[in-house]
Amino acid sequence: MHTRTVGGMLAAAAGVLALHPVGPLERAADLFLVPARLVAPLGAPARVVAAGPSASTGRRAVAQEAALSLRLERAIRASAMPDDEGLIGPDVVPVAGEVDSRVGANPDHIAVRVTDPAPIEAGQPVVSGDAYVGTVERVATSRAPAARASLLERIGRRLGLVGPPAAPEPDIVVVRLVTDPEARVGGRVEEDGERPVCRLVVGGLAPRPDRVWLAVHNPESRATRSGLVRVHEPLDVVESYDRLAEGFVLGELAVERLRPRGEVVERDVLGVVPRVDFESGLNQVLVLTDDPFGSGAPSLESDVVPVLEAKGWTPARATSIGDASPWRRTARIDLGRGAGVRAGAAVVDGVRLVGRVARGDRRGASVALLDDPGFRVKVIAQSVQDPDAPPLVLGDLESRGRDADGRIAFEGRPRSDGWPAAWLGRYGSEVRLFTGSGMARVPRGLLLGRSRIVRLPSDEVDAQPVVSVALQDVGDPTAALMVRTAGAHLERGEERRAGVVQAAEVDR
Amino acid sequence: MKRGIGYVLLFLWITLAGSLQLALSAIAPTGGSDAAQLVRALVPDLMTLVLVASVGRFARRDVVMLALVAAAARATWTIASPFALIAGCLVVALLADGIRRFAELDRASLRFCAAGAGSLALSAWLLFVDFARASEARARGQLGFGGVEAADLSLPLATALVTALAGVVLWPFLGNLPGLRRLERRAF
Repeated sequence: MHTRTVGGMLAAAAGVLALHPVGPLERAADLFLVPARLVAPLGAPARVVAAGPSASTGRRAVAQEAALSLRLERAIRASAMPDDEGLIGPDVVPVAGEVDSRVGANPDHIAVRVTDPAPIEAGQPVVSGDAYVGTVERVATSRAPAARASLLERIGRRLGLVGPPAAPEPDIVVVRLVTDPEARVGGRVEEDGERPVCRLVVGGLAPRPDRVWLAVHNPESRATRSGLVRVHEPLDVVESYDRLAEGFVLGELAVERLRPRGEVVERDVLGVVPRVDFESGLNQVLVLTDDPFGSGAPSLESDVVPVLEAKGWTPARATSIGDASPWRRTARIDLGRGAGVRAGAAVVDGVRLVGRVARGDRRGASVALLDDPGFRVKVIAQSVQDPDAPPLVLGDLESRGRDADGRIAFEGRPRSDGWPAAWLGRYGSEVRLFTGSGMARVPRGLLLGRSRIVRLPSDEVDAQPVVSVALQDVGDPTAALMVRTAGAHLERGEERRAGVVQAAEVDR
Repeated sequence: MKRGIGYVLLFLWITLAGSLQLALSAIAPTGGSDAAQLVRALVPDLMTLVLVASVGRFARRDVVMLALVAAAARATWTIASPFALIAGCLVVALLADGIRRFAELDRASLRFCAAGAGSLALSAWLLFVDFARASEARARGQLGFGGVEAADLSLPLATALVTALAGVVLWPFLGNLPGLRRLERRAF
């Protein structure tokens, strides 16, 4: 009776901790299991069986894939510049920035890593292509670590229960998106070409349960129900940095009769359909400054770092492939927290993403593979027909595991423009898929595979279309791997690692 | 000390069972069709089987310790949270111990029930934890992995059935794993 009571109480406590994880306790449990991890090499048979006969015969052009990734990076950077060059005024100096990650759990704030933080100040507008995105809220997210950590903190760090203090990153700026409930920007509606017909204020989200529409406040006229909405903050009316974004596009004005979230009766909801996917479609942005000593147009070439030549990659090896739970597809690698491996880190085979670290301990790490059902990734598509074409942002896609042909199926719903018919019509549906920005410890431009983009029928009436892809030519987890031990941002290493590409090829 | 060595050997046996289980899963087809997934799920849960057999063989006061050893061994082969494994293995051990209260587990029907129920309980629990954690991570915009659909419950059912059958066949071997005599219960 006594044993059963103790066992029952332990099971209940462990169950609660399993459903509501507490970081330090999870790390303490991993620490407790370190001796058990010593037997991980016993998983070698599974690794050998999983490798199969084809793994050693396939020789792929890693250098060619690295070159394609580089072309994608250039295309992404170019896509941040507005198509209409007249939008950037003569007194405006744009500073390029790469979307780094979300800020905490707030979906309306993003961290952007800029090339030159010096001229950036709070309130300056942020744009991507022709689209207005938001404003700079503050510069530098991380405070400098405390000069002297407490005894408890030091013990926790020594045991690996507490992570090291975050180093200050002066080139990171926090951007408040126009979707934030507090965000407001003046706009004007244009109908019949460029004739302004109505002024209004835009900011926050309209109460639509199923789509992202920007909310409209105080429109001059309720009669205006369609048209292109552009930023309108003339200098003689308001003294704000938003005047630098004069003319940038907020979206299309739309009205629809529906029952708003939290209300019981139907009414006309007025909103602006944005051109960008604020949740997962932002990759490269421009901060508009008025620094008289600025360097002019941002460089698209000088600081482009090829994925494999960046520092922050550490060679690793899978010690076992597979999971005791038959519905999961995971692997274990021989590098852990002791080598700087953290949750979310990318694991690659050459340029190809194999998976992401789900949890790490001192001796190794567990990796969720691409075909692990539920694996989510932000995706950018590059046309096979024209790799230099503007990339197509597909946003968040989720793995459905392997299909009957052994390809890895991913699905997702584009949140902004709906079905990208125009892009597909122009550049074709045959694409290479790469990782996008905004994932911690996963650089932009890692190859996921090659696929055809297919539209799946949606069950719901007027629902967003479902994008489906089936990846082939994916990374091999049994190959020589590399794991990301730095952040998502790529920086060139002190020593040139040009030999990495050749080494990866020879390894195959 | 002798008991400590016994637990270490039990850990190694369960780990070896896990390695064999993974290798058998890797032989199964990699396609994602229903048939291929079912074939992968038809690999018996050998680790749970060793745990249940050990509960039937050793003293009742060791049940909690056996579950913790099994959870540690299983953690080597899965991405699941250690706390989910501890809770799951404890439930399996207590379930087998509960059946043992009425009759010895060496009867074929009870082996079948104990192994099958243990495997199903553990798999269903881990499936639920995966689902709950993935859903919460998605809702909060946090880093999360996994996320299974309700339809996948058929896989644990298939695994449980095969594990139950394997329990009937393999019990004589699992009940006499070398090196574990020092953990055996004394005669009543």
